[in-house]
Amino acid sequence: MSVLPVPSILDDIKEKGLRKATLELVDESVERFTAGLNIQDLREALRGDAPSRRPNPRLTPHADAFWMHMRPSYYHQAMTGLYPTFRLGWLSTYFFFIEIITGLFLMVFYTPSPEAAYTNMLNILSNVPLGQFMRDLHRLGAEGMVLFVSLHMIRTYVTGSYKKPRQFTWFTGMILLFFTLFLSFTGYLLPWDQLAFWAVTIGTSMAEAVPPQVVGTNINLIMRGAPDIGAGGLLRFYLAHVFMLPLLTTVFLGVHYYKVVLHGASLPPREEEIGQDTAKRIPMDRRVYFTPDIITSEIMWFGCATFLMVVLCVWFFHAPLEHHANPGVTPLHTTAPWYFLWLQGLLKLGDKTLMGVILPGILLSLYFVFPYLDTTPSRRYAHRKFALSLSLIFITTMLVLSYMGTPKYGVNTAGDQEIAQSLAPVEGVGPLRAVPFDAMAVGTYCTDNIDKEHKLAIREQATPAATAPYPNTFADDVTCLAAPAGELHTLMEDYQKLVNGHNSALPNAVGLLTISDNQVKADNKNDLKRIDVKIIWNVPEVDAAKKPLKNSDGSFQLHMVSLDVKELNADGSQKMDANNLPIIDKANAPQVTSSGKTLYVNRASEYHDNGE
Amino acid sequence: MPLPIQNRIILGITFFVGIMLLVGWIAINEGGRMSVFTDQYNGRSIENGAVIFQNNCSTCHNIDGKGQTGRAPALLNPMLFADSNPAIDQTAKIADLQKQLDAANGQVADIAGEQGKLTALQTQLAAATNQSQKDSVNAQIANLQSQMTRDQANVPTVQKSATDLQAQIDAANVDLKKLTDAGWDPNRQPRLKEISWGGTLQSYIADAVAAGRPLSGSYWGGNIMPTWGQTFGGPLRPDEVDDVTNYVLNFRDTALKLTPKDVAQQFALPQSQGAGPNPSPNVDPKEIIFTKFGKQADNSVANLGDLSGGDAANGEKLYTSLACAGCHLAGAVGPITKGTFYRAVTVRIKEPSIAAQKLTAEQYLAQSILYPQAYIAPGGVGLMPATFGSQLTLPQLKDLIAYLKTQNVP
Repeated sequence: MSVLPVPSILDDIKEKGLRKATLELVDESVERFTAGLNIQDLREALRGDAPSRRPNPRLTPHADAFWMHMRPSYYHQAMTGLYPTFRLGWLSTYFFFIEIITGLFLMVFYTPSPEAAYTNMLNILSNVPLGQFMRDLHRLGAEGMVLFVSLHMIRTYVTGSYKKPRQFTWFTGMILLFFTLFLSFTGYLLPWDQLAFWAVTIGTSMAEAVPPQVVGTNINLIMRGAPDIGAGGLLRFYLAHVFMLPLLTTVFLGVHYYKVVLHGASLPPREEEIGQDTAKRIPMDRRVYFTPDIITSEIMWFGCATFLMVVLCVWFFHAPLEHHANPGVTPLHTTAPWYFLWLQGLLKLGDKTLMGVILPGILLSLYFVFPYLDTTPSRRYAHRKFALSLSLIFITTMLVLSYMGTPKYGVNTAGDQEIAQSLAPVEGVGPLRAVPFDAMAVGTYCTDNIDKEHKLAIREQATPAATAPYPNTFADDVTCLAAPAGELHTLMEDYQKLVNGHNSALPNAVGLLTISDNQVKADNKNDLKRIDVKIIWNVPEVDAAKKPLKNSDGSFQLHMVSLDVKELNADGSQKMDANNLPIIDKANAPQVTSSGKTLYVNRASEYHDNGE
Repeated sequence: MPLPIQNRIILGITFFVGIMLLVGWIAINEGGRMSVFTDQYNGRSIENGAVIFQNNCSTCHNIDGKGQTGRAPALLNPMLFADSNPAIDQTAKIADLQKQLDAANGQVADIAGEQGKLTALQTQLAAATNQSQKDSVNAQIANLQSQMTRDQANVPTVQKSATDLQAQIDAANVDLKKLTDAGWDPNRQPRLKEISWGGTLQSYIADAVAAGRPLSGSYWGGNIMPTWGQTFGGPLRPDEVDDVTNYVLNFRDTALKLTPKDVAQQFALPQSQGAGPNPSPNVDPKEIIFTKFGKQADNSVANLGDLSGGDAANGEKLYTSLACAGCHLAGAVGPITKGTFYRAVTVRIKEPSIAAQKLTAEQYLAQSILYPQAYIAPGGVGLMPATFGSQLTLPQLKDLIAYLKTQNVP
């Protein structure tokens, strides 16, 4: 007879007593929750004891539970060390989950519209608690995911794990690599800053080169939503980034994992006979069970990796945010994201269609089907000299191409612009902005002598004219001050090195740095200084190929212009004529030209301490 | 397995505790970090605004923000930032003192009038016919006499207070004179009050930058403040409008140390206050150079005859009001004002293209003003508008040249 009209726990309590009934209820709940392990089983597992029940309850979840059935119930002991997996596949998945969690957080504060996106970034950084932290984690995780997925692919190639019967696992892995790159690339655009805008502009312009033209144009239109990246493109990239690509990645991740369970993780090559695949036939004494060994290990590694990520995001890494996207201004030295630099390097070598689409297309297709082409049975390193050499050549080529993708290779920027850019880059900080506000003493400093006050004559025939107005462009003389010791002096030393480093193209170059007060505040909070970087040099005579001509002694041949020279009295004053006008003589002198840039620095935006 | 399971569990727990501590530490510091970021971003915004101002606004509002007479008002301007006009406050104070003085003077006059009242009462007493009337008038006389005794004692005090007040008024007038000399116009309120702006200074500036000043052309001789915001068809994004606004707002402290005389005033009066278009120099349209002498296809100025004899002082005024100074004074955009004539004599007229025309220095200057594209000085970019021939009369041109001739230094 039940206590209540229906059977309930009260009956158990009545029958067994409160303590026993409760314990049994908890035990039963734990067993349901873990899909097979009761408290005693868990206790044994965590103590490292052998299971006391038969059949082994630790295997039940792998048969009965959804998530656990995606993992093998035991591994070969040879697979549990650092070699051969280096945990790279696990780390790839780890980063994918970090991206999903942090991404969901960021999505809450984001609107995919050119009007709102950048403001959202500022809001995340200035008004959302933990906003910067989440953004940093997301960005670092994205870079990490690309890196570790690529390393995972290289590892799989090197250990020959793609070979029969795992050809299709490799194929899905390639798809996942592809999705990873696109996830990262689509996310690149979302902050809608200059970095995002131009990196993605360069990236998508490659799609436009797909032949024939009608295909390229339409792929470009479908990706960007318009001939250029704008509101349509941003929305498309956003939807791909938060919906389409994560969904597809999850699907293929499932397939990829299922294949690992199906075929077993491939053993180190020396562990099995040539042509054999013994991953699924693990001797009893070499089995390492998922519960408890692998799972505790994975949880520990999860803690370790996350701890490292947090440490990096607290002290060492902050996601960059540059100026608002501006289609009208291309920052000097724009590059694609680092993992596409090889493509940019390839593009510098030749035709956009051939180098940007056809060659990478063939290469990528080869990667996909490589396991079906390479049917040699042996996975031993000694038997795969050709394949391993190929991978070394491939890695070296990618590194060289990536270097060629950077502005250091094949970009001919005029030396004067290069100096100004090195000193005060359009985006980012650079040595000039890093000088503390109070160390920027008002005055003009010149690289010809930074330790002594002296006069520097700048004649007015500066051509071509500066595009931005500079102080003293039309003035005669500039008084160069001695740079005060400290950060400003260090900066001038850097400046001097930069100018001297370019003297092969800029004869007799002198770099000027003019600091002036622009706005002065009573509370010293938002003071603004104007800083003019100006480089003046003599114009060399050039040959037909625009190369500077040199004299026999190795010095530059300078372009001469007619100049005025004041006729002076014995006392050094200007000699006047009968009409009381100064007497001026003509003389030939080297032509002077100049260029530079103006920037403003606000005390409150001090760059040296904001972690950039 | 390299580590025993217990060690893995302990290590894992340590990592998780570490994560929690670090994230907790970040969370505790978030308030400070966010406010620092807000300040830093405001600083960056001012920097961006300064660049935009230099590239777009400085041609009219001047590179230092002090405005240009006849072109655009100063933004580095106490009349923009001040809450009240001290001249108006001073005028109110003087009016108040005057009121007190009037009251004191009235009191003195009242005391003086008491004797007349007494005489009237005495006449009344003499005319009284019965005892009760006499008693009543006698009582009034007694009252008045005691009142008069008291008032007489007060007279010196009241007179002194009147004298004091007068002295205060005189002093206040001296102060007012100082204020008006400094350019504080007692008839004009600070900008926001004058136009009865309902919002903040920030919203006023942002509005002016974004939407422009469609009517300003009628005040500044055709110089219309354009619509800069993309919302209104201009080039600046909303965040850039905010940047410029932040830059202008950052003038506040410097502006409040200046007086209106230090900068180009000339905010247009609202028409509701009876103001019409800004008075422009009174020029007879028939006297305009291009109308009277015609525009020369070969840029020749020989048809203008002798160019000497101008008034340098008037020329200097024109140099400012025609906004020449905006580009030339600091040598920021065009060749620097200082030494213009010196360079004309010593360098320019000896240049082959000028020498071929056999121009005198005065003619060279006239040509440069009327036909600026005829010869572009080295380092120049040819930005000077070719509109002065349609604005100036010949005497004005001579005045300008006379002013430039004072710039005869190396």
